[in-house]
Amino acid sequence: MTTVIEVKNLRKVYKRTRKVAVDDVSFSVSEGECFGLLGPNGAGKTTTLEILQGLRSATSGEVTLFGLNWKQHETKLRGLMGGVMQHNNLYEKLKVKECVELFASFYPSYTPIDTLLERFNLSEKKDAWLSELSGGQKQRVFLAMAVVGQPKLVFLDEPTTGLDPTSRQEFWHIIKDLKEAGTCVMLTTHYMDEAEFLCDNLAIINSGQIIESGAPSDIINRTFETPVIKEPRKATLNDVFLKLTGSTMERESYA
Amino acid sequence: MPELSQTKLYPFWQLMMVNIRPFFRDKAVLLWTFGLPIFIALLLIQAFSGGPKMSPMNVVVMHGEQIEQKWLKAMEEDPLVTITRLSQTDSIVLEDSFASAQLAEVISSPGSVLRKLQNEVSPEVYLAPNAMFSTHNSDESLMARNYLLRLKAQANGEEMQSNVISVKGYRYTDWLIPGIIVLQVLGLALVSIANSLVSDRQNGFFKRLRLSPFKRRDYIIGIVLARLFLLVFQMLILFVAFHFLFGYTLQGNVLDIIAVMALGSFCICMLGVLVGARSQRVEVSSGIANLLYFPLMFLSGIYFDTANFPTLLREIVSLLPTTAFLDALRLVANQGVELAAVSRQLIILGVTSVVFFLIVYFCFDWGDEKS
Repeated sequence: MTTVIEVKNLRKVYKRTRKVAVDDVSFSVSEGECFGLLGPNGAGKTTTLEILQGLRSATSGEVTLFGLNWKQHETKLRGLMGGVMQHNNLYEKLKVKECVELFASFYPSYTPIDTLLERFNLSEKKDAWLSELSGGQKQRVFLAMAVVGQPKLVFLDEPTTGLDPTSRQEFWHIIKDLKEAGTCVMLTTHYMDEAEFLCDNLAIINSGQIIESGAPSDIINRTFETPVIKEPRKATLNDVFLKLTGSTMERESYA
Repeated sequence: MPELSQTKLYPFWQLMMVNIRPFFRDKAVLLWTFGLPIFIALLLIQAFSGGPKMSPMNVVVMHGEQIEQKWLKAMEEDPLVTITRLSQTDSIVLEDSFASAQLAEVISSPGSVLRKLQNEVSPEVYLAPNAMFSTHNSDESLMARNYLLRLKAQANGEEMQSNVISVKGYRYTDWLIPGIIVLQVLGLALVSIANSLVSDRQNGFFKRLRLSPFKRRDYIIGIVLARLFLLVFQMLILFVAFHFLFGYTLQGNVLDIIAVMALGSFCICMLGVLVGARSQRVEVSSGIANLLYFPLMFLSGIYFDTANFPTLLREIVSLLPTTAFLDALRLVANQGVELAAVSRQLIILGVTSVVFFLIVYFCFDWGDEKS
């Protein structure tokens, strides 16, 4: 499989505070893979992500996307990526369709807006203002803006923080669809269930260093030795809420 | 293979529309952005368009002073003139003060008759044996002197007309209106554009844009075109209002006027973008915008003619974009001159715009560490 992201010995020290935000981090992500960066607040997830996005420069180390570096190929790389940030804001009085159209205009070709809105379950809201949407609907709009140009790499920085379980489920299934279509997804999250559901591989980062990495099941097996942990999990409050509110863990169709 | 659309969407156009639509969808924004400035513009014109008015005046006649009886009678009958005859003692004190050049002290001393008159009658002019003195500025003094001399001439049956010939394009209102237009441009283009940019930066909009292949120039062109569109909308309303309320008509070629307005507005818009180029907080951009707004407003000759400034200051002021814009607009719109006659002003506006654009292009903070 083609390597999309290659990070070698990445290090970032903030000049003003002299804080080491990222310390000797290395990993790689392949085409069609969802890679998760997990860790507590201030662990260095967003800094790492912003270096990968070409928004910050690394103090040392090497970062290549699609075999290209930011210094020489910025224009080309920006055309291959999209992203949803931790905090997303746009003018409240813009319609859903207008927001997606804006980002479509930046790419030479794009998914037809109506098709995309239908796939993201936003057709009925296409003429609604952003201010009229729920948190989950807004987040889907921002994801639609990120993928309308059919980027090969999508960055998602804590995309489901603050969403209710139903919205999170909807969001997850959209990400799954993207993966199946061959898009590489780079995700940061605080939610372990999200990481487990979406990520093929992940890295747990703490104080700027990767303390564990690999496939979620491998990490669990390496971390816990008692068989109880390996049994099928019991129903959780999350499952009760989903059942009572009419949603299930079963995949709904977004195609 | 996923479905693809090749229909061309122009990013600068989309960015322009993104900046225009919210204005028309929010009544409060519409009111404060358009309604209030238009109201203030009309109010300013109304307040200034009448020109200086003749105030009541107090004419002091010294004891023993020989004044033509006809003139004295005409002044006594005039509703604007109050005659006060000074006693012999007061006249002597006043005459002594002329000799010792201490008139101001005498007038302002608490027990002075003249001080009392000043407080009670709105004194403008003192009629002394050989001169007229005024406690007000030279323009008002001159007006009062002319007024009294006209009364004198009329009392003697002499014709002395001094009416103003009202020619469109040369009236005081005509002189004022282009200034009010430039003031509107300054408000919307400088202040509003700078604050809007900082707000976009604070909301992470630039970072969001950087996660796509958008081009910087498209954003700058989009936001400037959006403000130019809003200005066209505002100017249309203002010109129609000025026409019906004050009989204002454009004397020059409409295309020339549009060209001057477009270049002038573009230049001020670029200044607004420059102010918002690196500011991280609205308080900072507002402060910088205000710092520029007031000198540009006063020095460019919006309210008063700058012809009386010292030569060096006048030369410096003429290089300001607002001065070049206003001078060109007054000449083209009011006096109907051709663009060639305002080429100096157009060059100043063009060069300034390019300089602003280049600084913005290279110094703009797009929310990433590199910029």
